[in-house]
Amino acid sequence: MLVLECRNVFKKIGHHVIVSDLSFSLNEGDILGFIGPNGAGKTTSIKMMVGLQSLSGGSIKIFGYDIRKDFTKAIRQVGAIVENPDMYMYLTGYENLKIAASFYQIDASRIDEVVRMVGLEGRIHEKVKNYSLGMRQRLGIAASILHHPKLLILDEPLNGLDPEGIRELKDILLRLAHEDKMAIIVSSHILSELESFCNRVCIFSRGHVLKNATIEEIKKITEKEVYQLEVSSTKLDSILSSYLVIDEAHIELSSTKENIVNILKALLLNDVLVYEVKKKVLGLEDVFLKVMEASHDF
Amino acid sequence: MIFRLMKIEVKKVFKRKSIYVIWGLMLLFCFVNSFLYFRDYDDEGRYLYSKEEDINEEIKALEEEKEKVQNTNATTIIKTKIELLKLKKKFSKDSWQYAKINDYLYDAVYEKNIRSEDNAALERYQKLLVKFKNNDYLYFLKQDRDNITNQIKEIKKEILASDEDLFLERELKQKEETLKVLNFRIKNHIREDTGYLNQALVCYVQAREEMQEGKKNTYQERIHYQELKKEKKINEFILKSRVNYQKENTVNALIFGIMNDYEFFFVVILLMVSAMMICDEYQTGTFKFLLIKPVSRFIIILSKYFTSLLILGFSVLLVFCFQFILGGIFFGLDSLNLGVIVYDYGLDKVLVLHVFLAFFYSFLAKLPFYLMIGLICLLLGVLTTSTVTSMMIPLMLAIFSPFMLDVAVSHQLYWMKYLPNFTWRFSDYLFASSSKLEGLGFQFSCIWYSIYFVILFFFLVKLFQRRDIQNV
Ligand SMILES: Nc1ncnc2c1ncn2[C@@H]1O[C@H](COP(=O)(O)OP(=O)(O)O)[C@@H](O)[C@H]1O
Ligand SMILES: [Mg+2]
Repeated sequence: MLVLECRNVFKKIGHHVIVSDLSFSLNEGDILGFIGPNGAGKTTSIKMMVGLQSLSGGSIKIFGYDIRKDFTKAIRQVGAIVENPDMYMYLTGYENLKIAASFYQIDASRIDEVVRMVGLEGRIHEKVKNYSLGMRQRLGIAASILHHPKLLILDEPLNGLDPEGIRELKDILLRLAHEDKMAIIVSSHILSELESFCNRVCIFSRGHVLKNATIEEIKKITEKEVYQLEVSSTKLDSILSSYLVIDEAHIELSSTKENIVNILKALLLNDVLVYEVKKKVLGLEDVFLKVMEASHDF
Repeated sequence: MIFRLMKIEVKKVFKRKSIYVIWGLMLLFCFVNSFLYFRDYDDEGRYLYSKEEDINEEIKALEEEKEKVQNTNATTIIKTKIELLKLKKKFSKDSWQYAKINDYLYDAVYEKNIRSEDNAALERYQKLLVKFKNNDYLYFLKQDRDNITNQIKEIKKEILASDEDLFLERELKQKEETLKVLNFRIKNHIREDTGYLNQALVCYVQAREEMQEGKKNTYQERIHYQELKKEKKINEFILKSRVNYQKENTVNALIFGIMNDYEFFFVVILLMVSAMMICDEYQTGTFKFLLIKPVSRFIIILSKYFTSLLILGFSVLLVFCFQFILGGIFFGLDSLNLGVIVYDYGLDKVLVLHVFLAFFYSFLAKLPFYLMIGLICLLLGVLTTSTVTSMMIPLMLAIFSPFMLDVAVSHQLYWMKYLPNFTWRFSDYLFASSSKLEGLGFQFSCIWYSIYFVILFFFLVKLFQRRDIQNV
């Protein structure tokens, strides 16, 4: 079932185009990753989806309700954290949740349930100003799933979470998507964080959506990994078809995991000594470059 | 929904420390105020520590002067003065003796001193002194009456002899007035002390005199005339009822004065709460939390507006209760049955109201002012998201409006009546009184106030609905 539909969404502040031509749709059970470096326009897009900012063009519909025209009907189905898990610092976590609950018909047992779900039982009655960022993140998630929303939007929810917390959150999100058929949007500036549990991604760069694809497509692009080799000679034209010389002892080449063995074999057979083989971790920029390359290819 | 939202807002306000600080200060002020009235005023409502003339100093100065003078007559005069001052010291400064000693005893003392060998003079003086000391004010008043009556007879004779002497006619009129007052004093036993009856009588006579001379040509003169009329009626009422309505150290006076005395606190509380509810939420980003809930923004801003007014109402009630309790402890609650008096300009009548009712009227008259500055504060909050701006501008408006009105009056800037901060002054029209500025009337204010209110409110709602939530 179609949960969210963005069509040609466009946002301009002054002369500055912040989001241009964002179009995608989201079905129940989908987990969509918004990936992009800081300032790419992820938060702005999310703000438009939850009605915190106006659209300069295009339309956003949640369950068929236009977010601008039928705001209350549309937003009733949505739970969200935008930018930061901003809570009332001078209230306790529990009081914050009670405020959130008072907008829906929600009883106290549900509050306890979500508190347990995010693992805040021990400290829920403390003031939020004494919380760490990770705990605020958990509280924010608790508040946003309180009313069983059909669409959950989390802006950088992994910020400030410890590895344990990240794993727990992933579990929670997967469960919500699979069991409650929630559609989820999660933004992050780190691709690897999302790869493992998103089934679709949108890659943002400077207000443009570079790629809107399933995770399989992205994986295919990023699968070709980059390896850095320390070698005795860098004159290898006769052996390798494409490689990059970094300095007199280092080269870089991209290859799949299986193929790197063949390359090493070929080098050694040609009396080129290999001292070190290092897999280069792909930064977001590298992925972008790859995505750009790939999208030119298609 | 709106009540649920208001409940949330109230809850949030009550969790803030700053509001308790202001409330604490307000109640402290309340206590100090009541306590000072308790400490510094006597049973008649007179201030105990008003500046006293330094009699000893005067005596010293006169004695130095006496050394220098040679002339026997002058010496006697100084001697008489010193003697009177020494006598005066024995009386309380609130007594009629203190006020009138020179008028009543000077002649007798002088006679005694100038003719020291004349026993008759001494005897006359001693008799008079006994009467003076025994509080026989009626004797002296009657003495005065007889004097005046004689003077009037003389003047009448003179008028008959001369023809159309305006000066004499005027003098006759004045004397007749004085005679009337004296007769009134004798009949009603009103001494010339600092008691409230004498005060009322003096004010009454003065107001009546001024009214006779008062012109009624310009607006200012008419307003002044109205005030005189009020003064006259109020004091007349006090004289007739013989109740000290204007006593300040009573529960009545304290409660009736709340809307004036605590205005600054109320304004600050209202602005603080309004600014807090808007600017803090913008600045800390919690507005996002609120604005992605299934409620329209109109309801949200309305709930915030109502909440600020609710907190204001609560603060007024808080002061009211506290003042009531403190007043009861310090002054007793007897005055509640008396009520307070107000002058109704329209009816030209003095009304006795229960103090609670009078207080409620004063609250109602002030309400439009609070409604407007609260609205302005919210509007500025949405516009600028700056706490300082949204608090300071309405605060300035509130503080400087009276000065602006004075400027408008003294420079005859009649166009200023269209200013929003002039049209909110509904307490100026309480009991049909008039504004100081010509052209600023009740109906005028009603119309323009409504126009401003509707425009600002509409603007606030539209702005709030359109406003993008910026990154923080
Ligand atoms: N009010 C504004 N005026 C001008 N530029 C803005 C405004 N708000 C955001 N931006 C710009 O929009 C871009 C996108 O911001 P944002 O959506 O927060 O990025 P992200 O969440 O992806 O890090 C940034 O370059 C930011 O500087
Ligand atoms: Mg962001």
